[in-house]
Amino acid sequence: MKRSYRIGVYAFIAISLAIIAGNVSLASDGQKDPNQLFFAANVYYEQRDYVKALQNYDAILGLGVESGNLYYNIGNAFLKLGKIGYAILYYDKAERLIPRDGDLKSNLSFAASLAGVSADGHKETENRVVRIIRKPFSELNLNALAISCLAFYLILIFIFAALIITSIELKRWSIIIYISSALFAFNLGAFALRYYDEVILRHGIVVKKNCECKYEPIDKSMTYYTLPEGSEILVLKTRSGWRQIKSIDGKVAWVGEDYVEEI
Amino acid sequence: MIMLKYLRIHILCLLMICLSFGLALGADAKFEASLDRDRIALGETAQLGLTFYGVQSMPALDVGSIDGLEVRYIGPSTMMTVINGRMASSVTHRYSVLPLKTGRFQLGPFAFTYKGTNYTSNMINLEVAEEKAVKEPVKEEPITEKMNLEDRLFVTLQAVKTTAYVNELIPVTVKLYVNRLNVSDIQLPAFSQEGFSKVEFKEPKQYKEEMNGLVYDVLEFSTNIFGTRPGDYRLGPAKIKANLVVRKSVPRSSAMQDDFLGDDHFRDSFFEDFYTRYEKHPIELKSQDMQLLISPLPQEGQPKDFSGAVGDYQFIFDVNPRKVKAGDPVTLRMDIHGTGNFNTVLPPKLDNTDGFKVYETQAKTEERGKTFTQVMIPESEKITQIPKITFNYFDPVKKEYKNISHGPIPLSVEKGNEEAPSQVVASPVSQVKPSPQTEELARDIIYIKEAPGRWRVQNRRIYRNRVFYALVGLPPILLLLLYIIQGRKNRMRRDARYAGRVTALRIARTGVKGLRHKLGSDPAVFYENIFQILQDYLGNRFNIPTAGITYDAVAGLLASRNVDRDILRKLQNLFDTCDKARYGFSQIDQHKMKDDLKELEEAMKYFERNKG
Repeated sequence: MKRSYRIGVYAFIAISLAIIAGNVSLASDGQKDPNQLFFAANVYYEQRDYVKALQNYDAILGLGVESGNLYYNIGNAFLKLGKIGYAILYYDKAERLIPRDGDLKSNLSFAASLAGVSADGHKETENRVVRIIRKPFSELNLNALAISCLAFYLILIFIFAALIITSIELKRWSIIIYISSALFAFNLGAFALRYYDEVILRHGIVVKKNCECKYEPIDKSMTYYTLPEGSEILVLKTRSGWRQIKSIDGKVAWVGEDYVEEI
Repeated sequence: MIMLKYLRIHILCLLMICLSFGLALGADAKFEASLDRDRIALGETAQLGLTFYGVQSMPALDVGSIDGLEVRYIGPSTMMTVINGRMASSVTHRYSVLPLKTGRFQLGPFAFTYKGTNYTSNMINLEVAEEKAVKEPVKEEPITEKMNLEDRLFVTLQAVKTTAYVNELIPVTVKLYVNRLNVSDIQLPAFSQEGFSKVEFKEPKQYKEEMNGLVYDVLEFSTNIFGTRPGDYRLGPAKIKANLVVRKSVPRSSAMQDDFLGDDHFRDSFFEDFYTRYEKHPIELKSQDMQLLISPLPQEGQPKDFSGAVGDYQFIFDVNPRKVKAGDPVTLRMDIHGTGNFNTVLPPKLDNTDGFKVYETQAKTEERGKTFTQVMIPESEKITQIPKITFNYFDPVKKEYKNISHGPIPLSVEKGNEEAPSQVVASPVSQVKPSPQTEELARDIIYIKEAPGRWRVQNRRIYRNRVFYALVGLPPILLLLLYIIQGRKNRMRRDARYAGRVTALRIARTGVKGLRHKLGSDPAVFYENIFQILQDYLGNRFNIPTAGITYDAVAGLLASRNVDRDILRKLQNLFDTCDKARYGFSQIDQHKMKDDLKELEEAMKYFERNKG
């Protein structure tokens, strides 16, 4: 009994050491640490080697992690390279994570002005009710909205629980209940809208110049209209090298797959 | 609530007033007189229509007396079209005109003032002939009596041409003909458009048209379409949805008619209106369809950079300013006017843009033209001209490709103060290759972030987490449980009978369980416990004081509640055995104790089954 116990302890220690050693070697390999890659990319950027900076930023994305600041820096690097469509694409990605960031808003607006498109994209076509619901929560990202929604929900549950336990008349609490319910409903509405916009709809950006939008997914098809680089569109479906898109003014057409990148 | 309801009604009324007022102000106050026939025979009647366009309501006009004619008012009819929320409407007051003698009569011009606006109609003539003179050329009966609804209400679809090239504009007209019927809520025409561009109708035109001796109110919808690929297509049928307003008379008693309505005129004019109701019937009118042949554009002579413009265009080109410093923008304005399809007109191409930074072209489309504005920045003072620019198009009338060229236009470029940014071609992040042209774009860009911020797993959604699901799903369940428990507690406090029953059940469960463990113990103690349980159970179960409960004390109560005799016997037996055992009058073995415990359980089960 004692012997088998000892063997078990030794095995546990050995496995633990192996894991620690593995982690140490992983940490010592600079290429696998997103922070080191990020700082290295920033150095390249400072040296105006934007291509190498982008390669390092891209390596971070290859690790399966992301951050608003990372997307912002990628957007900057693309803008420096004169690739406005990609710059707007990455600024839009960053906006989903750090919507409050002033620098981001400024650079996105600058890139949009260079492209001759609107920085607000599809938001300009939203109706007034949607705008009113969105406005108070526009500074929160989708995760933060989900958390605030959950908080309001739990507050509401707590109020109802208190009502049940204390057996106080509903009338006395009616104002609190109305306010909490309204806040919860408003927040839930904002979350639902954002979820629909970011998760269900497939937003995309035109990343090449003179994007010819055609009637049919055939090279020889007539051009319906052209979109400038950086334009925001909705991707409806993808089919053998073509994407069916819908422009902000509602025109549906087909474009080559490489002309558009999804946010 | 009532206040809110009133407020809502007020707002609706205000909106309606504003809408009517806006409509009245915005619309043309057009007033037109018309006759359904300009030649009739003695004994026949013609119908005079006085139509006010751009209004929704208008009182009937007193046309006065006309020598040789008897004019009687028939009633109003309204035509209303709703297109994309915009309304077009007209009100027509109809009169029956009966000639009293032959001759040529002049009706109008009718003058009318309403709410400060003067309305003056056109003048119309009516020729009244002897009966035979008119009836011979025309059919014997009035045309309208023989006609079906399809003859008085129909839709036509017309295209200016039946063969066209790809991208060539084809003017298409859909007309709704209405003869003396009341049609409302007319929707935009719809038809199958496979192989053609999207159909967008303009504001419809409203006018009168005579056809086969009948005057129709016509609503004309026009649009331009173009074939997007070659082929033989069928266009239409065009469908229009509307409501047909028909009069429905409510039956009235004949006795009442006979007693009170001696005078025909009085009956017609007053009681016809009083007993008439109007009903709306939704209808869908279909036109005939038509064949259109779309031919491909000829390959022969097609310019290399032909963009698909088909029509007859003029191209004007202008550059401003023509004297700049390197790095300063120059605006190119390209105006393309004419007749043709502007949807497929793309910006004309410059021969060469070397030495310029070229921005995206901005386009502005108008009804008969398209304007492109392009900003170009000369990067050095070596630039001397704006290159030649060419616009290619296909002329479908002459069936040949044409091109219009301008330039090169001289441009004076001085040395700039700062180095101009240049264009660099880059690829997606993962495919980026170093480029020798890489250069800074930027003036106003804010610097990169020095810290990476909070890393997170890509596309991680907090609301897809199990903890999140639990936090959303569990609270309502807990709330429901809390509600049930609290409700039970409250009932226990309020309802003594209910509380007694619940307590009795608990005693039954715990007491019997305890007794099972005491089966081998001293019979006196065992039966003392049974006695105690019986007292507590019966006291709580029937809401009576537990102290002093004996069989004799409860027998009457139980008998009054129709308790089974076998149960009563068992209870009596239990109480007797308890008394004997407690006071040591008899020797009791373990089997007897087991049997008595069983009897106690049966009695309690009986009471729990029978809640009364």
